[in-house]
Amino acid sequence: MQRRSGLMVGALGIKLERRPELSRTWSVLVTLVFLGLAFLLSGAIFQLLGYSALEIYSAFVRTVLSQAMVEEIFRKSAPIILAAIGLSYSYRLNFWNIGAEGQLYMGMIASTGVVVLNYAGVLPGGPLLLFFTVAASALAGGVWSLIPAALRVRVGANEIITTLMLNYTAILLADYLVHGPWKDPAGYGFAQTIQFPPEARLAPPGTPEWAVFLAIASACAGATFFVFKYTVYGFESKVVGLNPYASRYAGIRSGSVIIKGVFVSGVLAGLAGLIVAGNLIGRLRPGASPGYGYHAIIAALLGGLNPPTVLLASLLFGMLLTSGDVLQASLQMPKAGVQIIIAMIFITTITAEFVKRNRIRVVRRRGGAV
Amino acid sequence: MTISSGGPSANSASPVVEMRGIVKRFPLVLANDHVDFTIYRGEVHALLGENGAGKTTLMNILYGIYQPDEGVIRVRGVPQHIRSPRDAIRLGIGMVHQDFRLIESHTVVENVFLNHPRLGLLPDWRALEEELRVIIEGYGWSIDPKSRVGALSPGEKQQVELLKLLVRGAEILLLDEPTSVLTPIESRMLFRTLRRMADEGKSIVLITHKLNEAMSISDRVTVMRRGRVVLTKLTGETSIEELSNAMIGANANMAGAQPPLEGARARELLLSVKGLRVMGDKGVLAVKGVDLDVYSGEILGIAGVSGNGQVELVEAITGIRKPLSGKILFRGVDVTGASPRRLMELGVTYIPPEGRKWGVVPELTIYENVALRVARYPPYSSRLGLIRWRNIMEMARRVVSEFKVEAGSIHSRVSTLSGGNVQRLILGRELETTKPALLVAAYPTKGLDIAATEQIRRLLISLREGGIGVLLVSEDIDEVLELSDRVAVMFDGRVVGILGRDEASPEHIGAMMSRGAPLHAAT
Repeated sequence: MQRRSGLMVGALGIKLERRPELSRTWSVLVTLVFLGLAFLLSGAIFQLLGYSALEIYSAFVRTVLSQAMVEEIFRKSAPIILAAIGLSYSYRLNFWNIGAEGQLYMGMIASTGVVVLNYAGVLPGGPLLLFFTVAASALAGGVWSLIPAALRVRVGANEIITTLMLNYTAILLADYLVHGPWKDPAGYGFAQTIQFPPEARLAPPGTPEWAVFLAIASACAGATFFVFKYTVYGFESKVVGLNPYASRYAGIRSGSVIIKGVFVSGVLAGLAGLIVAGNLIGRLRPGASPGYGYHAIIAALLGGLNPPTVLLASLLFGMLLTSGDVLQASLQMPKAGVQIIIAMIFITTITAEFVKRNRIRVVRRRGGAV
Repeated sequence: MTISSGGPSANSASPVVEMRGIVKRFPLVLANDHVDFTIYRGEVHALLGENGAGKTTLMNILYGIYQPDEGVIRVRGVPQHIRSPRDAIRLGIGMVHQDFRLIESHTVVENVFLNHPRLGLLPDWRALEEELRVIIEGYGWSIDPKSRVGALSPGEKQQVELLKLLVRGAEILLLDEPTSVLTPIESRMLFRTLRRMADEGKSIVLITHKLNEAMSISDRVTVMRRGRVVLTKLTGETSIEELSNAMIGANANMAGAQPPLEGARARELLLSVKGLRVMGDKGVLAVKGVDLDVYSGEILGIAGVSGNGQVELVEAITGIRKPLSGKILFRGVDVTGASPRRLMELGVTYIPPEGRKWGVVPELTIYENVALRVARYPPYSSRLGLIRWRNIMEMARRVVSEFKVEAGSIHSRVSTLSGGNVQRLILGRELETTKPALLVAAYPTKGLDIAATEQIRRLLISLREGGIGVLLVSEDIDEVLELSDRVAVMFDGRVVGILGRDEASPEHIGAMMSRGAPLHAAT
C-alpha cells in the first residue's frame, strides 16, 4: 500500500515512494544530520558574505558555554518552549496553527490590560495580581486560537490562513494600544505602557528567573508528554490527526478534540506572552516579540512534536537568539545573521521530514510499473 | 430511451482495433485473462460487466495507462506498443475517465487546449474558441467556450472531456461508465451524441454495468466476467436475459448454502429501517426511501451493483452519515441520526468498506488499532481518562491469536499487514471489544484471497448461529446467496425486492441488480 508518484526522464525514471516507517534511531539520526547541514550551509553563506564562519561558530560556542549567558539562554528559550509545546497539540491534530505569535501577543495584551486596570485602581494589587495576569494571558491566547479552530471545525476554513491573519490583527492591536490608550503618561512620549509591577510577574525580582522558567517549561513538557502518551485524549488526538475517516468511524468527536487541543496551544502561547511582557521586557511595546511564536513552529517540528525533544529544540533557538545579540556586539554582524541560521534550520527540518517519509529510487523505464 | 441503432453493419466494416490474448496480472488478481476484443469503424461497442470484471483494465491497456503482460494490440492492422496515453492519442485513441480531469477554475477553451501542441507561446484564443463553437454547434450542445468549467453541470463537463478528444483528432473514443454522473436527460443527450459520432465513422467503446444502456445504444456488446470475455454479439441478436446471465454466470455456486433458519422472523426484531432517504457525497440522493428489517440470528444480504446506495444506507444505519428523512429503530429505540458512538454503545457494530481507509490507522501499531473504538471505555481506560495500555495489549494479543492475524507482534504497524490480515484484525477487534447484537458488514471480503474470504464467511455464519443479526452488503452474488437467509436487492437507491432463500436465484437477483426489476415481471 505505498503511494507512488513518478517522474520519467528518458529511459530512466525517478520514483518517489512512501517509505515504511523509519525506526526511532534512524529518525533521530536523520534529524541530527540535517541539523548539522543547516549549520554547514549557513556557514557557507557567512563565508560568502565575507565573515569567518569559524569565528562566528566559535563565538557561538563560547556564548553558549559561558556562565553569564546560560541565564539569558533560558530566559529567551522560555516563551519558545511554552509556545512550541502548545503547538505540538495542534500539529498532532494535523491542524497547521501558524498563530502562536498572535496568541502570544494576545497574552501580552491581556496581561498588560490587567496591569493597566490595576494601575487605574480597578483591580486589586498584591498576590492576587499574578493570578489575574496568568488567567488573563492564558484565556486571551486560548480564545484567540479558538477563532481559527471553530472556523475550521464549523465551516472548514483553512487554519493556515486564518491563524496567520490573526497574527497581524493581534500585533496591530498591540501597536494601537501602546500608541494610544495604554501609552505610559510618564514615558517621555515613548510608545510603551507602564511597567509590570513585581507582583504581576511570573518570576518576580529576587527569584532566579531562569530557574523559574525552567521549572515551568519542564512541568509543561512533562505534563504534555503524559497527556500524549497515557490519556484517552492523547490517543484520540493522534487518531484524528492521522486518519479523519477512521476517527469518524471510531466515534471520536473530532471537532471537540480539535477545539480542545488548539485551545491548549493558545493558552500556552498566551502564557508565553506573559513571560515576554512581564519578565523579558517588563512592559508592552511595539515589536515586543522578535518572532518567538514563529521560532516555536520550527522548534515544534524539529523536536518531532515529542515534548522533551521539543524542549531541547527550543533551547537551541534560545541559544541562537542569545548568541545573535553577542555576535552583533562583538563581530559587528547584522542581527539578520542569526536569522540565516534559523531559516536554514527550518528548511532542513522540513527536508528531513520529507526524507524520513519518502525514498527516491532511480528505476529503469519499463512501462507499466503499477 | 430508444435510439436507432442503425449504424453501419459492423460485420462488413474493417476492425480499427484488435486486441488479442491480452493478459494483465495484478498482485492477487488476474485482471485480464487472455482477452480478445475488437472494435470496428463506426460502431458503438458496449463493454459490459460487473465491477471488477476487468473492463476498465482492458481499456486502460488500450489507452496506454497499463502495459499488458501478454498479448498484441493492432491498430488499423498495425501492431502497436502503446506505452502511454500520449502514444494512444497519436493513434487516435482517446479516453474519458469516470472522474473528470478538468481544471475547474479555467474556461472551457483553456481546458480543451491545455497542453495542446497548437497552443504555442501566444495562443490565438479567439480562433480556438471559434473552432470549438463549430464543433459544439455541430453536436447541438449549448456550452460556451468562454465559461468556467466549475460552473458547468456534469453533463456539460463530459462534453468538455469529449471536446478534448475531438480537437486531438481521436477516432476511437473509450468512455468509462459515462452515465454514472449524469441525469437521465443528460444520458439521453450523450447517447444521441455518441450515435452521431459513430455515424461520422468514429468508433465508440462504452464501458458500463447497466444492461439497458448496453441494449439501447450499442451496435455490438461484449460481456466480461472475472477477467474474461464470455460473450460478444451484435446487440440485435441478444437479449437482456442472455446478457444478464453472461454477466453474472448462470452457474453461480449454491453448494455452500446453509439450511434456512426455521422461523427466523419469529426472532427478535433488531433493526427496522423505515422510508430512509440519505444524501450521497455528490449532493445527489443516494438512498431514495428504503424499508428493511433485520432479525436476530439471521443474515440479511444486500445485493446490488456497488454505487446503488448500499454504502450510504449502512453509513446512515451506523451513524456515520446523517439521514435526510425516515426512521431507524434499533430494538424499538429511535436511533435516527444517532452518533456512531451511541450506536456502538447500543450494540451496533460496523465493519466498514475499505478497511485500510475507514477501519484502521495504518501508521499506528496493532495494539493501538485495537484500542481505536474502545479507548474511552473501561477496562481500557480509567474514569479519569487515563489509558490502560496493559489491558489493551492483552486484548490485542487475544485478537491476534483468535483471529489468526499474521503479524510480527502486536507492536507491528498495521501498514505492514496484508489486506486479509487487516480485515481479520478489524473483525476480531469489533467482535472482541464490542458485544454486538447487530453486525453491519460492508464488503467484508472485497479484495481478499480465497482462504481469507472463506474464513470471514464462516465467521459470519457462526455469528448468525450465535444469535447475532448480520446485515451483509456485498456485490458478489455468490457470497450473498451462500450466506444470506434473505436477500434484499438494491437498485438506484431503492430496495427493489426482498427474496427468501428459496426464491433467490442468481439469474433473478442479477436481473434485479442491473435493471431494478425481476426477470419475468411484466414490463
